[in-house]
Amino acid sequence: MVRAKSDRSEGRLGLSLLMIVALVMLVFGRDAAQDRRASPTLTDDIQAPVATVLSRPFRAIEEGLRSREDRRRAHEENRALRRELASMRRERDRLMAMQDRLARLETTLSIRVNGDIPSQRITARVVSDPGSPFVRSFLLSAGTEDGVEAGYAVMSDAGLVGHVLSAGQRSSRVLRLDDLNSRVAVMSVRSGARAILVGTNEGTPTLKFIANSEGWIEGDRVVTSGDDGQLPMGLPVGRVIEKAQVELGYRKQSVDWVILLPFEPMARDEDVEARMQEGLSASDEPALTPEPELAPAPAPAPVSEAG
Amino acid sequence: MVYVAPRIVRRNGHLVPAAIALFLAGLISPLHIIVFGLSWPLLWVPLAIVGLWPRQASSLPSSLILFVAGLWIDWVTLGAVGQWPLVFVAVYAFTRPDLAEPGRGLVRGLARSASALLIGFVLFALSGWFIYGVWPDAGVVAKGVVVFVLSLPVIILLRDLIAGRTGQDDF
Repeated sequence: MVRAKSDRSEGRLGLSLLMIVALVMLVFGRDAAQDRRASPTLTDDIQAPVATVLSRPFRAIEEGLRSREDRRRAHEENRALRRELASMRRERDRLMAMQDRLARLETTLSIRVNGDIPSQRITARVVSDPGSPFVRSFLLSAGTEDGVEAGYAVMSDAGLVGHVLSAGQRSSRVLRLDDLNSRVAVMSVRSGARAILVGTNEGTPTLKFIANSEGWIEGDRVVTSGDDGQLPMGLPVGRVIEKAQVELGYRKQSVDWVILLPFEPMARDEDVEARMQEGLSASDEPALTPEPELAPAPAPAPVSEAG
Repeated sequence: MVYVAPRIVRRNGHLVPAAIALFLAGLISPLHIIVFGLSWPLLWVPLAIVGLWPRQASSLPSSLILFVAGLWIDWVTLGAVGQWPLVFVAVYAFTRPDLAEPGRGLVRGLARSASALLIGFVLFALSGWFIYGVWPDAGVVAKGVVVFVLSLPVIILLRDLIAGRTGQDDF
């Protein structure tokens, strides 16, 4: 008991003294400590390799666990993918059966499908934008050597730009949708209402020859209808804004690369004219004179004949 | 006949491995190791060694070693001079292993370490606030505590093995 007391008192003095010394050091070294804290540590370069060595066993454990987890996950993913594959095979068989059925029905009804967007593509770069107060066109870096022909639809990634007006050997000129001479048969995706999109040499072409005025409202998505037989059906054009004007999709961003869609028109202009002449000579009825605005564009008349 | 109680033989030789361990722990104390994408500070490992300080050693040499080791850690970690000596000496003063009942094992070691951690953390936070005017980052402290707790069984086991092999129980 006596010994314990003496031990206790022996240590107490020394400990108290050391604690006081430590406190004094702390108080007097306060400012220096704050300065040191703000300065960059010079020992980082030494600590980094030591920390790397110390972390190595933990990293090894971590990697071991991770690889085990990866193997477990791979097994689960494999099972999920097998299930999905089986399901997709069933779906593919069903789609093939439907495709066969559709083909048989089309054959039975003698339907001639000509409105689909062609799968073949020609890519070209817009090398010049020879805009003027009167002409809205592009010059492309691809011509007949690349398979380009007049009449091909020209698309940017934001929608229809126009169609090829003339094709040279290595270049071609595109008539843009907003050009004054542009006429394109379009329809509303929402209602299916038809109209002709007429260029105005301004940013927003106008819808003319609207058959069903209730079928067009603001915000309607506009696509090509294919009724003119000159462009494939379903190419995105833009969106209806106020007063039957259409905000063109391709104008939202600069056009650099474009895609040309080879498309065999339903009837060429010269064929239409020849047929009209035949009709005029065969009957005494007065000739149908096309509307002045529609004159440069392919008339919808051949569509009704072909259809 | 006079009955003489068994007197505890204090041997400062016990302090040598503890002091070496403390200085080595001080060397790695500024480091952080990255495990499972998280940074784990080794700041509290020296405190775990202080919490398990040898029992059969005189208090004065122990206090001096703890004081010097604290200064060493302050220097290595670029911390405020006097902060770690204060923490170490205060923890020792509170736990006083030299006066504790003999006994070794996990439970006793854990109890001593828990009190060491508590006192050490409170003093460290208070002294840090006094110097820098801010409280320590709770996340870093929490992760440091996890490292402290995880390192304890390893330290206890190693010390226990050595004590059992040498026949010198220093817990």
